[in-house]
Amino acid sequence: LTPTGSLDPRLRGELDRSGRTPALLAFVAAVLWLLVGSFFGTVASFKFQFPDWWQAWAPMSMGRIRPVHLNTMIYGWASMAMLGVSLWLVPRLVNARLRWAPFASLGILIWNVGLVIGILLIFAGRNDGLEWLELDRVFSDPFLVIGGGMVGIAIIRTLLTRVVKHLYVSVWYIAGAFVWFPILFLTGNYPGFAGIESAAANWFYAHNALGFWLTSISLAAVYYFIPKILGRPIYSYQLSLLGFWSFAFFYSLNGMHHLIGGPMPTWMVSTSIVASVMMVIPVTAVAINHHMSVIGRFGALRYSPTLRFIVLGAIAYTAVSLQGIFTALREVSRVTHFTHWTIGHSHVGVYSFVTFVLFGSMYYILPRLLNREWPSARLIGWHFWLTFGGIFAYVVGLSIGGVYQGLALLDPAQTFEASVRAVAPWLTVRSFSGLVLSAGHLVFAWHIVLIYRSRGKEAGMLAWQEPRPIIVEAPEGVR
Amino acid sequence: MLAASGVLILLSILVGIVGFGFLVWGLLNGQFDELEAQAMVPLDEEDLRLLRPWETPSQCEQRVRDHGTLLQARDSDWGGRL
Repeated sequence: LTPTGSLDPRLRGELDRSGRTPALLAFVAAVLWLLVGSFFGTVASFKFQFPDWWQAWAPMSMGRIRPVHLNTMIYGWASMAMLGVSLWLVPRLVNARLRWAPFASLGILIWNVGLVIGILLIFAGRNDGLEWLELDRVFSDPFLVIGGGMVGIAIIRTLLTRVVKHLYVSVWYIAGAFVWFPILFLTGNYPGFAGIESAAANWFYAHNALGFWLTSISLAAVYYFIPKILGRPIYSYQLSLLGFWSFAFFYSLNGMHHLIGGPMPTWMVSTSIVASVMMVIPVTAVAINHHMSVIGRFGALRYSPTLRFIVLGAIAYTAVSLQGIFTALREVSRVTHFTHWTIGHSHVGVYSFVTFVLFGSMYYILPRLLNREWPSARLIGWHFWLTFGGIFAYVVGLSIGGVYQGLALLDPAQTFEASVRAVAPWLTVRSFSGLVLSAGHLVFAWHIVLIYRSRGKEAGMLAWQEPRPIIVEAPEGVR
Repeated sequence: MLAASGVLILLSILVGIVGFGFLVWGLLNGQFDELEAQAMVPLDEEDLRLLRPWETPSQCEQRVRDHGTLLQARDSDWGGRL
């Protein structure tokens, strides 16, 4: 530690290096899955305009490529990138080298082997038939459990050997995610559920995977990078803890609101609606805290790619959470349930929030892992505007189309065909938005290839550990 | 009805107990003491001394008063360049 109690930059470099291999492995896998998932998502979307396209070839039929898109994005792109962020962030926050790094690397490889097997089986027509749980529970899921468990053990082991007493709020979120997710994944895949139980357990898993896995680690990144870039602590640390603990206690019951109108016990759905409304507490706590931390410094978004992606991601978190709370109400759900509104809503969560936060995190972390600067400001700009524009059009289109579709479905004077016609133009908007998003992903992947191939310092002192020139002297009498 | 919902009740309790366990552990281990200091954990001394081009002159002056001389930032400090 330096005399002021801050960590010596050289030691910081050591900590970064300790998780370099598994984190890089996870990020490379994440980007590959992002490209695969984008391709199949876009193809699936265009099938709404051209239903017969590739339909004769079973592996490319809608019923197979749609779950391929979902599973590659959740367990490939998002999960891999989140593992990379966690493996890099935890050593930094607990001032301890990553323990059992080779073990974590092996875990990442095993996870990916399981995912490849699961995706190939979905193409072959074999999946578990439950949303978010399509990967085969015999031939694929065990790899994910073992691989994820190995990464989790490395992270928990690092936490146990930490040299700081207190756990920063980001560490709470990451530690929680690595304890909650195995419970959720194992119970979600338990084969003994039937009928109503199966539907309940399915949505218990799917909604909590979004919350206790994707949201947890993404919020951990937000709480780290906003102070880091702005050079000032989070507005209220107390509020951040309130946000975490209320999230931990209210979130788990939310999933049943997906089954409003289904043959479920009324008390179960009502409890879920109440729990969903209670999410106002953590969401408001997080939203106020993030906003107040950035206020007065929004100009930073013109300079920092990391902050630009992360702040927009944080805004999307507030938006998707409030949208989710309203959608959980019976009167709103009556219109939006079984419509494309839900797809738009889920993309605000998984893309505008989680994916944007992960993009922002990778922009900060990758130069440190590779010891090189990003080669092109223009490519970062293209990546941002393509993904921002794409997801904006995507969400607006599906939200408007979904409401028209829902209203048409509720109108007994209209045929089912009328509901399809009502949403059709908005599905075209969605397909072209998908193309724009995919173009953004290609730019991002190409930029990663460029940074990897660019010349940098491979050994010795990292660039950001070298002494920096002093450019503003302190006035007399100040420090 | 209750029997059919049993699995969900048990799962929710299980997840809740994990959170509750964390909370008790945190309370017993003083994790909620010295919150002001905890908020500074992500920030190194150098982070506080970087010249941030978006800061107003008064914000910049405040940073000099609080943390001393300011240092030149690199692109990677902001996650790249725009």
